[in-house]
Order: sequence, then C-alpha cells, then structure tokens
Amino acid sequence: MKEGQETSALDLLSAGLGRLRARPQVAAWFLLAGSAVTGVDLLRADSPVPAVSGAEDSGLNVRLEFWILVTILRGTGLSPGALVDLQFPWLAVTVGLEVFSLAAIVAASYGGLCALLGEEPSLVAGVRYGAVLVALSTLVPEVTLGGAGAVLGIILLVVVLSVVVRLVPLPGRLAYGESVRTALGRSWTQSGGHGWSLFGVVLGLGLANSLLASLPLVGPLGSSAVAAVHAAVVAVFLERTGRRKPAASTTHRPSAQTGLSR
Amino acid sequence: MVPTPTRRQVLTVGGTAAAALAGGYAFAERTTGDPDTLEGWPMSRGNPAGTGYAPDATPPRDGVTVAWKQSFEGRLGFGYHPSPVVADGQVYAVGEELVALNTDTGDIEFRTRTNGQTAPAIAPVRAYNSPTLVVGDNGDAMGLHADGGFTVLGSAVGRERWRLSATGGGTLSFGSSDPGPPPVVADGLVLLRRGDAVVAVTASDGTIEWEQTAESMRPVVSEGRVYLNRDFSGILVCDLQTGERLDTIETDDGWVAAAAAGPDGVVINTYGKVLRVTGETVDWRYTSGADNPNTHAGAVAVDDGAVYTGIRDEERDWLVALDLKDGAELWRSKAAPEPSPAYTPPAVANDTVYIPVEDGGIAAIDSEEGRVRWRFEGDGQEALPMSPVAIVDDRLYVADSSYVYALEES
Repeated sequence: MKEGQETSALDLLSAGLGRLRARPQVAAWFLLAGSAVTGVDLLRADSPVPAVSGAEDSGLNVRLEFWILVTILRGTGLSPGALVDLQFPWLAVTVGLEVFSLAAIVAASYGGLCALLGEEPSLVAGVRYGAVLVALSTLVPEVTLGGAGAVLGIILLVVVLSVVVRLVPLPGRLAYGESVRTALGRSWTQSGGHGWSLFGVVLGLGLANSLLASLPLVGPLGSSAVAAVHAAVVAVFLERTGRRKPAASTTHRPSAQTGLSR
Repeated sequence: MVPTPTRRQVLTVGGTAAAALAGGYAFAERTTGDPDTLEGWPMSRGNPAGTGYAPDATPPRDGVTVAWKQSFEGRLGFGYHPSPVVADGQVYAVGEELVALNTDTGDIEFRTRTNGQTAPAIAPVRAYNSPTLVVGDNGDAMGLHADGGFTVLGSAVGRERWRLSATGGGTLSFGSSDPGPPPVVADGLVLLRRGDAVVAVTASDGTIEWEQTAESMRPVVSEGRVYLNRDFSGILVCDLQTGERLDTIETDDGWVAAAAAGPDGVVINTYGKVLRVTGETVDWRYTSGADNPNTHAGAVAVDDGAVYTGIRDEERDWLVALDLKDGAELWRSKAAPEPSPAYTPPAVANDTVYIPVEDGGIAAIDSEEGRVRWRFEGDGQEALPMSPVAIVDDRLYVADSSYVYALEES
C-alpha cells in the first residue's frame, strides 16, 4: 500500500477484506477468541450467578454497535453488584471467566492489529490497549433515540459520532505502542479530512456488528468476524494516510506473521 | 524490559486457563447444592402452599403487647397493606420504601426507595452466602441482597443482584394499578406474575425458566406441583421445575379467587363457594348462601382441621371456619376480614386465627369457637387498615401505613 491512495469507505472496507484474505491467520485469531467468548457466554447462561444479557432489545430497533477500539461484543455481561457475597467457588469462577474473556478479546484485537500493521507486540502496549478498552466500554454512553428525548438524542448522537469518527485510527496508534494521550492526539489529527469516509466505515461496521452480534448463541463469533475486518480497515487507513509511528519509536522490527511473536 | 509472550505461550496459557475454568465451574456446581428452605415467614401467607399456618409457632394468644415498633413510609392508599415477611433474623416491609428491620430490636438494617405494592419474598439461593429478597419496583421485579449489600460513600454496593424488566412480556403486576399476587418461593424458583402469565424465575440469577398463561391468583405449590387459575376452567396443575401441564381441576363453580394446599387435597375459594378437591374429585362444597356472592372473595387459611376464609351473606361479611373433612361450618365471626380489594388473608397458629378486620386493626380469634380473644388497632388516633400478619416463633409482625409492629403475648 502507498500513501495517498483512495480512502473512501467502500474502498477501505474492500481493502480491509483483501488484507484479511492475505493474512487468514489474523482472522483465525479473531474467530478463536470469538469461540472462547461464546464458551464463556454459554457457561454464564447456565451459571447461578446473574448475567446481564447483551441482547435484550426486541422489536424493530436499529442499533449501531461500533466500539472505538477493535473488540468482540459479548452476549452476556456482568454487573459488579452481582459479585457481592458470592460463595467463593462461584466468585473465583465468575471473575476468572470475566478475565479470560477480556484477555481473549485483547489478545486477538491487539495481536491482530500488530500483525496487520507489521508491529512487534509488547506486553505493556497490550495491557494499555486492554485498559483503554475497559475504560471506553465503561465511559462511552449509549445513545438512544425515541420518545420525547428524540431531538436531544439526535444532537447527542451527532456529537458522539463526530468524536468516534475522529478516533477511528486510535486502536492502530495504540498498537504502535504510543501512550494514550499521544495516540488520541495523533488519531484526531490523522482522521482530519476523512470524516465522511470514516463515518461510512463506522456505519457499515456498526450495523454489521449489531446484526451479527445479536445472533443467538453465536453472536460473539459473528462479532469477531466484524472485529477482524475492523482491525484490517484501521491498518489500511493508517497506511494510506501515511502517518506512521514517529522515527524515534520505530525501532521495533515488523513481524511478518501474526501479531504475536513466535 | 518486559518480555513479550510467544504465540505458543499465549495458546498454552489460554488453554490451561480454559481448562481450569471449566474444572472450577464443575467444582462449584458440585459443591454448592440447593440451600435449605428458609425458616420463618419468607413469603406472603407463610409458605409455598399458601396455608397461612405456622404449626410450631406460639404467637400471642390471650393478650397482646407491642414488643417494638418502627416507623416507615408505608402509605399506599386505601385498603390493606402488603404483609411483612420474615427470615434470617430480619423483617421486611414494603410501601413507598422497603425497610429491613432486626427481628429482636426493630432497628433498621437497611432501607431503600421502591414502589412495590405486593409483599416481598425471601429465597435461599445457590451461588450466594445470603438469600435473595424479591421485591417489586415500578413494574419490574428485583432480586436484592437480603442484607442490603454494603454502603460506600453513601451509595449501596451489591444491593441489586438482578432485575426482571416488565418489557418483553407485558407488565409485571408488581407496582401496577393491580398489585397482583405476591411472589412465591419454592425449590430455588420464584413464581411471579408477568403480563397475562406466571413466570418461574431462578432465584439466584433471575432467569426465566418457564412461563404459563394464567390469571391473577397467588400460585400455590405443593409436592412439586404448581396450582394456577385459568379462566373459568378451574385450576391448572403444572410441574414446578418444568412448567409442563400435568392436569386440570375442573370445578364449574366460577372464577377461582384463591387456593391453598392442605394436608389432603387443595382448598379452593371461588366467588361464593369453597371446595376441597383431591385429585379430580370434589370432596365437599360449601356455599355462602348469598344471592349475589360475586362481591368479594379472598385467600383461605388451612390448618390441620379447618379452613378459614371470608364470606358474604345477605347482611354482611363474615369470617367462617369450615371443617376440613366435610366442609361443615364450624363457626362464623363478625370480626370479618377487610373486604377491599379482596378478603384479607387469615393466618393461623397457636389455636388462634389472626386477620386484618374491615373496621381497622387486626383481630385474634379463637380457632375452636370463633370468639374474639383480642384486637390490636395500632398506636394511631383511629384504627387503620393493617397488613396480614407474619408469624414467627412467639411473635406476630404486622404493618400499617406508618409503622411496622412486633407483637407478643402480654
């Protein structure tokens, strides 16, 4: 890929898919993580510990499930309040499942991005990626349109989408090993002038994620496929917009295979 | 420099973690079986069978005094109040708030703002060290930490374990204009009314196990069977664990208002008739004698020898006692149950029937003769509607719109 190539939404998505075809092992990593998350969901559904369903909506709702960082949507969640006073075996298993699920998602997402960007992964950057992922999933609001609050919701939606679009490169910048602050700043700068293209990417991936993640039982597997495309699109965008990691920190030797060194 | 794990290391660690979690899950499943049934009065009418009978309790019989009282915001409008429930050393009462009180002292253990109009229920659960308290809140049903969780910087942490939304199946009767039946707890399940159905929810995690279309009678559970009312066809009998329909009890006696599972068979109260049914056989049928009995009906209490319920004749409302063997009327008392919106549920223990009465307060009535032993009207200026009683050991627990009382022998 060269700098200055097309960055329209369709072109980015198409190039991302092409990148995955060239690196099928990256898609396999995502699907493996999706399988692990599916297994965790199945255990949770059978467990006597309360789980929060990620797909409670019914009817003709249209959802846009785009997370700024590359991630896999889980079918069940955990309310922290449900952990209080659990018997020890269930506490250990429940916390273990949560950590395992998160670790699988971060390993696939961060590792996959590194592979697609030709970066050598590092444990510190991986942990940072996971921390940002947890923070964003906690802090980013869910915007709902409907009822008397629809007008306010539309305004809020426009604001949130404007920010999300400018942060599309963020997962790639974190995979470069940049600090959160640096990655945020460079992501903002790098996405400038590509707003509509990136909005198209957000729309396409968000709708696909919503559709596939809502499938019963295999939702996380569907979401992992979207996550693989998301990672590939971010990698393609970073390459095409040509603002790679600064020279001072480009001492890593690119890995030719997956995001995880052999 | 932190070393970067290799792909093989990641796969090994991941595989080991997955195996350890699967093993831990199996271990947790094996070592945490179903807990014992809670002692006390853990739900409205005392037990899953809905008898309102506490055979081993010795509550006040010949006279009554207040052991303690505690103020709370119980105002829910006219009519009688939801019954308090008692388990694990705590009394729970609902109104405009939920309060948990120490059974010995009446001290407030925790309180929280809710809007539920039916009695709560306390369920023993598999995964937790403490039971789950099931309460209604603005149409939803919530499973709460029965001890209230703990407080950090003024905020409750770990109080709510699960919430069953009213969406997706109509409206839970909790908190709606029709308060509907209170939750019933049996064998790790909670039976709740949701829309036009009764749902069985796992007490530990709030997941719906099964659902059966039914009317608004309080479900009755006995020997692994659930009794529900359905239209005019009588009683629907279902398996408690699966919800599978096992049988139908056809009575042709009109709409079923209430039922209780006695020592032999099920006692059913329709509008104007009381029946005892064993299997598919109606053992006896008692008629109130009113030309137009379709005014009131309510819960029945059943002890080892008699059935107690409210009836109406041409003149007025009564509390009657019927012989459990043949349905013969043993006595009737003018201390009639509060009739609105339905006859208040009686409770029975220590040869005494306790009932919130229509002119306010509660009455204790000799279960052999129907004589009023004593009345309690609270501490207010006038007698106000009270809740049905909860009976545990030597005490009664009752609530009005301002106080929860613990009553004992004077």
